[in-house]
Amino acid sequence: MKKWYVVLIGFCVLLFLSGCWDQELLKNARLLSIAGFDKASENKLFSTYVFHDQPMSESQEPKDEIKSAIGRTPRETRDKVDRKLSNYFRAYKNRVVMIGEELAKKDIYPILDIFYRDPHSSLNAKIVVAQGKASDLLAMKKVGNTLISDEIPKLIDGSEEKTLVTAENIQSICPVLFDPGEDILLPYLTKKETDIECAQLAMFHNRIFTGVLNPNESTMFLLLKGSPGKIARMTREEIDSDNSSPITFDVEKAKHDMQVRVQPKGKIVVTLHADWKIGITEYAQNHLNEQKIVDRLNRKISEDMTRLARQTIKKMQEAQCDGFGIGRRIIAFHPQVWKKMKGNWAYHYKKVQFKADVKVKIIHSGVIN
Amino acid sequence: MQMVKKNSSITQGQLMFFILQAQIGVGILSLPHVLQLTAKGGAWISVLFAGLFLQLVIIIHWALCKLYPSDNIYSFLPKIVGKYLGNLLSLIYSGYFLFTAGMILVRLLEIIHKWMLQETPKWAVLILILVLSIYLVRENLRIITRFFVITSFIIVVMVILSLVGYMNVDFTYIFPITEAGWVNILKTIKDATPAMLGFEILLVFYPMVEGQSNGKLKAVSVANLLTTLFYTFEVFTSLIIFSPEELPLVPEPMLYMLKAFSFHIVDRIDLLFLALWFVITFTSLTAYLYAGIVGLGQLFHKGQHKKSLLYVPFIVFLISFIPDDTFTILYYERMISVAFRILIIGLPIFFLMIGYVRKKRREQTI
Repeated sequence: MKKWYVVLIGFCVLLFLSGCWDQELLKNARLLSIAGFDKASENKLFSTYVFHDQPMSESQEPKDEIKSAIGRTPRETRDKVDRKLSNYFRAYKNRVVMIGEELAKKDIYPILDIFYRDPHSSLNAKIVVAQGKASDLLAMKKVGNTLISDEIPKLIDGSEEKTLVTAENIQSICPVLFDPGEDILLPYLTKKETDIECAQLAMFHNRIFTGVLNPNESTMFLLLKGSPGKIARMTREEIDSDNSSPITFDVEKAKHDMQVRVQPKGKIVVTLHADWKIGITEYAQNHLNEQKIVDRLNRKISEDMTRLARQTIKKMQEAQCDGFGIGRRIIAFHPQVWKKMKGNWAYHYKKVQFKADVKVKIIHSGVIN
Repeated sequence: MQMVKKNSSITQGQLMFFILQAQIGVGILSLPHVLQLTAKGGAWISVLFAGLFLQLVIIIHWALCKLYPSDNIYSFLPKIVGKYLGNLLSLIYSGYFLFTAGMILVRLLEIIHKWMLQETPKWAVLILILVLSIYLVRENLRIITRFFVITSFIIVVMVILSLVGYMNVDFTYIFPITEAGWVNILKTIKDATPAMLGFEILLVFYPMVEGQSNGKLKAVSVANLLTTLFYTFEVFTSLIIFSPEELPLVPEPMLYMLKAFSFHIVDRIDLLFLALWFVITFTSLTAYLYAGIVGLGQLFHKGQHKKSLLYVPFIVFLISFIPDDTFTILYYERMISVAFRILIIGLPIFFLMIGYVRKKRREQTI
């Protein structure tokens, strides 16, 4: 009896040792690094794929390979590129998805569907909007001495830490994309001659790109939303009649508080209050040891920041971008009100009254006064 | 009546782990998705209610077992409803256990195929799992239970892995909690119970547990409580990670949320979670398989359950190999849920009443 078992088990082991159906050899894979999507004529899609090829030996440099194709859907363009590619197109190490401005002006979900559906896709890839065409940015191939497949992900990472753009990936935007009460904001890449800049935010309304926030507004939005990076720095002209000298400060601690109230008549009032502790990192006028000057600066910067906050919110309302998730609060805590507004939330959102104010306190000024 | 062998009995602590492992199983991955469809933000409350409801069923089962402390379901049924009907019902019960085991396998295969091994043919995975489970169920209850106790730490690891999801949550997604209304939240109990099955195995193993009957009830109740809390936690976590409109699109939220995170060493946490989950599901599978073959052993092989292993694997293989599309699977699941209502909730109440009446009569005659 025992012998019989050994034979049977041995047979089974041999059966399964012969190979594996699901093996994926890295040497057979062409790893996608950046996927760029643009609008082509007649509802077609122009996809640009950047592959990062690791060298076989140490003496060789890593290389990027850029391929593009036109098709109706991302999957179709992917297959078309795969035809032109040695080995297999593999997207599980994808780091960035870049959407061209024109394409982002209609629903972006069809572009992302492939990433959500495929169990092998990397959901932690960054997603960004490119000014102009994504293919133009990717066609640069190199920025300075850095390959584009390396430059863009690191650029976005850096900007996230500097509180310039939102830290989003494909999965983190997904709940918001499906939520009627909140809108996404994505990093907006711009081409500056031979460089690429990542310091602005692209506003969306219901999966449609509607406008851009400038760098200061972007930082302001992130601070008001309560998701700052490691550093949040701004340079502002001190608006003063006597001396207008620029001042640079880091926001060290930012407290924020948002309250959404619905008044009896159905008017929505949002109070946004921010309390910042800042450190001066550059101010050529000096004299930051005098109480009077610091108090005046506190007041002036507070005024300036409040103005900036209001300007940011106004811009967002014009773009119908509910980045703060006002609608979400209404859904959660005022379901009756939401039932009435559900049909045209964009219209009601524009009429929301924001009361924003920022209070700033200087807590240090570097090693000199 | 079959005598309980001394070396195969288990302690009450072991019983707790046994039931826990049998309860936590294949349902956990898709539970949040299924419940949210009807109960919306109140889905986690449904799980709590379902746990409460199952506690009542557990008490009924316990009371039934208490009437015949040294018999399991296969030996006390003939005493309650007569020899022929009793044996027929025993056969139906072991069929139910085997069929449930087959169903667990079907779901297991489906998930593995979808998330992990897309090219590997179904039969290969199926044979591997079956060989593994036969290897375990050949043994006696004590050995199986030891395996269950050892692997229980995995549940803790699963909780820790789920905590990763809390890096990006929005608590307002569960509000308004009663959006679907209390009626729907209560109705959803019926969708939550299939994922929490496993306690009914008590009917088979009650006499093999050492100690007083009150302690046994306590052990099973603790297992049920832990299962309920664990499920509530996982459902709650999914509810605050996925927005209400997104969750209906994601059939396995627990895996999906982990797919988005990557650490320096581990890129795909979902696969790690899946590997752990496999062990937890495997224990449920073995528990049911064992409960089924113990019945067949008592009916046809004079208590030697090993002998039924000569044909049971083929039956289970067929049960789990046949369904190849979602609709057949759903049909199977509906059958299980009907069988559950009749065999696990309905009939035990009936048996309890008859058994109670007989006991009273017996006492009077003495």
